[in-house]
Amino acid sequence: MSLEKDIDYGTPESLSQELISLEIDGHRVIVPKGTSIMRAAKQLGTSIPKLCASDNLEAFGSCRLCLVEIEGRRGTPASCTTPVETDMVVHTQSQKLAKLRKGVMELYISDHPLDCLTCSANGDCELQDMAGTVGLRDVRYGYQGDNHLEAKTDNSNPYFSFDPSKCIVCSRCVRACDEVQGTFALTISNRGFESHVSAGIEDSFLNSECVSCGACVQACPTATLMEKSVIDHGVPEHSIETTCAYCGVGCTFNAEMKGDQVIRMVPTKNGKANEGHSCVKGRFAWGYASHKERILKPMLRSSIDDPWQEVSWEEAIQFAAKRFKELQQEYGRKAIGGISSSRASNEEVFVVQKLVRAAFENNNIDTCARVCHSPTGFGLNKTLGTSAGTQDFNSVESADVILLIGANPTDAHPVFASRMKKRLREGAQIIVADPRRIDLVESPHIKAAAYLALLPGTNVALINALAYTIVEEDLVDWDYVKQRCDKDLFEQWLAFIKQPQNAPETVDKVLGVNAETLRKAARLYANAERGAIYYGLGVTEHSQGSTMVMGMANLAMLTGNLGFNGCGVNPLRGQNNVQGSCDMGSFPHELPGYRSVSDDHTRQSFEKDWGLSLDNEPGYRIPNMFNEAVSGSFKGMYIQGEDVAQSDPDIHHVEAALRNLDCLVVQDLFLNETAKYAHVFLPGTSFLEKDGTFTNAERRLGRVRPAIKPRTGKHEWQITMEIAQAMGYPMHYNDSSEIMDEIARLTPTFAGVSFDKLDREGSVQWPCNDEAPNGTPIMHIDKFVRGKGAFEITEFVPTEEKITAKFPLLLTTGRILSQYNVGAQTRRTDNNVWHPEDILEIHPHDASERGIKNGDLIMLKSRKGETSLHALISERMQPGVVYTTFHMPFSGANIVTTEYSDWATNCPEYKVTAVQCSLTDHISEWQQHFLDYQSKQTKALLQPN
Amino acid sequence: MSDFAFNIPKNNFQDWQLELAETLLKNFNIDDHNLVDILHDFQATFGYIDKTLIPLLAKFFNLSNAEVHGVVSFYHDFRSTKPASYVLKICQAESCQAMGSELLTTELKTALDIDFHETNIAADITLEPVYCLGNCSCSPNLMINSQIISRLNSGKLKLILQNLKAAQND
Repeated sequence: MSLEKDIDYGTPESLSQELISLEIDGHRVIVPKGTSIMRAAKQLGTSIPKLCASDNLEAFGSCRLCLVEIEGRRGTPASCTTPVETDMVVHTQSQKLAKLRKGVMELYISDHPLDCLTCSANGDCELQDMAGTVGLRDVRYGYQGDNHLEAKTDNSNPYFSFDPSKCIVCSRCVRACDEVQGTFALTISNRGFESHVSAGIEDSFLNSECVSCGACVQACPTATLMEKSVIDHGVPEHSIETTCAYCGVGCTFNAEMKGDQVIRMVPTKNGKANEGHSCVKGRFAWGYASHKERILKPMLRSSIDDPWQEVSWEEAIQFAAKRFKELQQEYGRKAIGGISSSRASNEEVFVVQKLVRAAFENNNIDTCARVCHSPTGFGLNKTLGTSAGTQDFNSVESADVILLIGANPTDAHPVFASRMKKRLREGAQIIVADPRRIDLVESPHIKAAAYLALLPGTNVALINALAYTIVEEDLVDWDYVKQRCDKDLFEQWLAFIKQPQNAPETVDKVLGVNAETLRKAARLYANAERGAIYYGLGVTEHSQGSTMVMGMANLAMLTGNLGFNGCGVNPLRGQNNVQGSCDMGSFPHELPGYRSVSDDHTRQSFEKDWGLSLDNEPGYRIPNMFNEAVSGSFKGMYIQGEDVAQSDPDIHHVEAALRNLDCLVVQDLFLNETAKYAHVFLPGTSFLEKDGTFTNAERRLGRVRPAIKPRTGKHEWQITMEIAQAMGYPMHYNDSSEIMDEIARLTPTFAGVSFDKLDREGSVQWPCNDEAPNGTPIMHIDKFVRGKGAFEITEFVPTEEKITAKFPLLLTTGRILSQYNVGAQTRRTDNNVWHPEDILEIHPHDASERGIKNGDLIMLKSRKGETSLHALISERMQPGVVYTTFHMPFSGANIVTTEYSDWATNCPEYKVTAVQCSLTDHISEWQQHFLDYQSKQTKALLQPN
Repeated sequence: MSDFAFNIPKNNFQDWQLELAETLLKNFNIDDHNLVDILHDFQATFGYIDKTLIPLLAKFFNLSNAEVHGVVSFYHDFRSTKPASYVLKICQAESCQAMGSELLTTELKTALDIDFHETNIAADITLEPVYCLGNCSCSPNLMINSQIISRLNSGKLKLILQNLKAAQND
């Protein structure tokens, strides 16, 4: 249920081109063939009573309220399951129908608690509405017969309760779990009077396969499935549409409010990224915004060993500005820099890079995309001409074959995964390339047509083998290549790919995948009417991340799979605004819109607008900043919303760099790991307080609207603006829409974007300018942005990180559904019930060789460091490969990861580390140090002023 | 009446073993079998559908645990516990009811001191209702394991119980 009532047409839209004309209650209506009578009636504005129907679910016909009469037909068919026919004459109201509907309602109500006044759904209940609609006045059967009123409530899920005493067994929850989420965690157990909703095999919701996406809660027409926050606080009274701040799917939600209190987050149907669906993070895990550990006042200290002092905004900003200027005077203009955050809005990121360029007067600006999708930007720009994914999410609904490489959408991009799974259930095929057996390889109603369980670090060999097969077996789309791609580059590439070193029969041993499976996968993708590539960090976070991105673009061009609906090369971006933070020019070599700082024409447009001259030399990347800090020439940093001391690889090195800084300014919600080395802490705002835009993985700009005002008293862009002012650069905006206006003014791809347009359109996909005033859902139609598509040579160069006798296993890292990235937000919510700690997954063979049993404490050791984790023996792993997540700071996964990185962009090689695992009885030295330092820093926070 | 022939073999169900179930499942070809077929086969082997079988079947058919549980629980014929050596199913449908099965059911319940879906351990009998055995012309009907006894009456019922008791002592 939700506060904002979108029009519910009762059954899904029919996409048929054929139109049918019929008469309902004396009015003519024309609808596509296959439309239900219920939907056709709604189109006329006529609501037929219903309980089990909803337009996001297939018609089911169980509640028997939507009966209608059709002239010339016997009986009273259900309008949800009866499709329209030409010249049908339908009556939705008659005495007979009224009597039948009232009778049905009497039966429902005879087995329903009569506690409307004290019920949590009072005023937001479809059963209540229908009782009113049919004019229910009494129940002839009484309330004394057999009933379910004593059924026990299941409160196991932290966010919603299941009270079967209120259930009318309409199956909407079961169908939402099946059709919308695609988890199939619920069923109607038993039959007849005994029928009831069962999670799993009569499990509690928490112990069942339920992934807590909230689709069932939203589908429930009664208070049977209800958010606990509504039970506690009552039904919300107003709502504000905004964009989720977790992953790169960028779901649209209504923040449903009571005064200034958020009661629940409800996904909206008009959100084009999510179409009314959600996951456990966006739907429920927003409580961190009011977590007690959140810091709301600025703080200062002169040394990182001193306690923190709360100060005024004025003092903190003046202090930071003064220190930065002093450091520049003493160590030079390039001695300071900044890191912008993919968690922040476009406007907030834009002002940070402007602060660095205009007030710091250098290009030492980088962003956390450095450590995730920088190879995407590089590789797709080089081959296609744009640093972004090519499709909208909707495109997956037209794909015939999906090639999924190094991504685990059911955990990391759950709402998109649900859309993908829906397409797979409709008959599309999926090829999964992943070292770990993810859910999309095999799970209820999903079975990969080919599973390529490659070894970590061998992506490029894989993509070359696929391309080799396509060329050798003559599956190339020659017309497309001839028309759309650069001839010389293609011929060079063709000569390269034909070399026997790329043959499946040569690389099968390297990959650990047999040659015939590789050939089968290549044929499947190449022969698909519409083949789509989706990928994640399993592609980018390698020493050849950029090479692999180009390899995928080559493959898509080779088979003519770019520039059409259902095709494309699609990065599944990790963070809500990683696309946006890159777009906004947070790179040391690029101004907003991916334009080089050395390009005079671009630079001049900014110089003119900003009224100063800009440095034409690229600045430091994040790893350069750390290296220079360790060597002593880089002294001050402004880090916005990124916890480099947890998320970046080779933590020992990062910590040494941070300790060496004379002034570290951290802007964040919490005193994160990085802040433990900071001198100035500037409290940031949560997405519920922000006013701006996020850009999701499909280049969609969505508005983030403040549900509540900044709890810190300042928007983040104001903080950055005031630092710039205090440093002597006159940056000024009255509100964040003025920042977007400046972005639009200076960046051709955003020329048509404004808050007004977004408020009008809901969202828009860039490029949005005079050529594409309504945005661009699919890119490269007819022509690549760069002109002719560029085939790039992608020679496989194995990583230098290799297994040895001492470190015989490969560690690869990833994500889990309930936690998000470094966990700063999610581990401050009840999501911890699903994942209280990071664990190490290990294959049974590797475990038994080492005497490891489930739950044993294991020391995970690489040449860089060691950390202890509990073991989970899992057949998801292949022998020789172990896996963990890095959501918890104490796990120290990045103590173990190495300094290797992508050759082109320095994106760290998180996905391949040679390790050894052994039983242990103690935590690692670093973990002990972590605990000691944490308690010291917590004390530093508790010191009175 | 006295020559009422009676020799019904006891149910000889295997004790539940997950390993055995896994082996049996391996022999099924998914293209030739549906879920209900296989559930019948497992019930014929073990006498009931053990809860731990559900995840195996879910994996085999690429379904969720909930879906398999939904099917198993829908059909009354699938038991959730192992039955006795003799399963007596007495028909409760219209024809048998018209011919007195209600009274016979009460008699049976009283004699065995159990209700439907319960087992008299001493007598080694499980009692179950059934809704039509397809033998209405010879109502009322009772099924003992896989054998139908038609035109049941009070006398026959007593003989049956005596016979079963005697078989018990064999």
